[in-house]
Amino acid sequence: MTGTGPVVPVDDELGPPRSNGELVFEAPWEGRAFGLAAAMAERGRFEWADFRALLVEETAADDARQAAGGPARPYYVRWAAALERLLAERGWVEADDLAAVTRREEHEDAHGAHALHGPGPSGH
Amino acid sequence: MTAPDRDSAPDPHPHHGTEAPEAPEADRSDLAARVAALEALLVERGLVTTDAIDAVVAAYESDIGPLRGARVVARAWADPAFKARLLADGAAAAAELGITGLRGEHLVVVENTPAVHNAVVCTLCSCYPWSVLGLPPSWYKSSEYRARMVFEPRAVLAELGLVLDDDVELVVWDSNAETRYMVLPERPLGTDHLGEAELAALVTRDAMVGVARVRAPGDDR
Repeated sequence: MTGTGPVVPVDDELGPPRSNGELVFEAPWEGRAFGLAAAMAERGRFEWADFRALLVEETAADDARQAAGGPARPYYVRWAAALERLLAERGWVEADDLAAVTRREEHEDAHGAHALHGPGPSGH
Repeated sequence: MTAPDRDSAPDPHPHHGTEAPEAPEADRSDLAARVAALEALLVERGLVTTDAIDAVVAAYESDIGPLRGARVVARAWADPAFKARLLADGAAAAAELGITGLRGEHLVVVENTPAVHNAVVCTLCSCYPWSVLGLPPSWYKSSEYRARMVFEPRAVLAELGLVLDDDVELVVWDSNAETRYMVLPERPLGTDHLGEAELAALVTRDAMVGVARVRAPGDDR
């Protein structure tokens, strides 16, 4: 484990903000995943303990893989996995819709554009 | 000899419902699209707004960080009555400084003394006092930190540069969804002449997690 004494933040006009020398979010999607969970919990859509319970399971799975010599997923990958499971359990995200909209997002990203309000994934 | 881990009550029942999947390494570009899709679907259902998510991201990228906790610590050092309120009810005292936590988050502040040193971990995931420290660093979330702070905390602290005398009791607090711990570090000697703002500037995130001490200006130990 590397040493982690107080780190002097590096001012970087061109890069994303840092907190004590480390990026808060290494990629925008991490921030979206974090913000999505936090915003929904803040609005009472679910209890934080319910999301946390799934994050604990995903973390335990990674700890076990690591102990067996395998790779652990990056933190926000676990976070997104827990969030996706919670949303599926609550019936708020259907697997088919998620697959379709994910393809749409990939397509839009590849073409450098995002529709603000596209049609629903099932066309309804 | 290390003190026993004063756990708060463990989480109840393992979560029933979907199984934890055997997850392969996720492709990051796919994940970015997947998270964007989750957001789009939830916004479409009216369960959250893009603005709300934007606000959370902006807050944690720009505003919410260890300086908040540092102000709380400095106030506690300067004002004994505030310190008493802080130790009795961390969230209420932090609110006096305009710091509010997320729904259900219960902030508990534990005080370091010459006889007792406190440190914080979340053994099961990453629970952390966001409202006063921002988001946790990678090492806090690592399996190594989470596991070793249970069975060899003194060794972990020593690796992080903090060596405790044998007669100092070490208490490790395990954070969870409801209870987020923050350490009130000892005020360093030679700081009696400093005002609150100057005191706050000395307080580091690591000291508020309990893996470092606060140093007085000019102290290079």
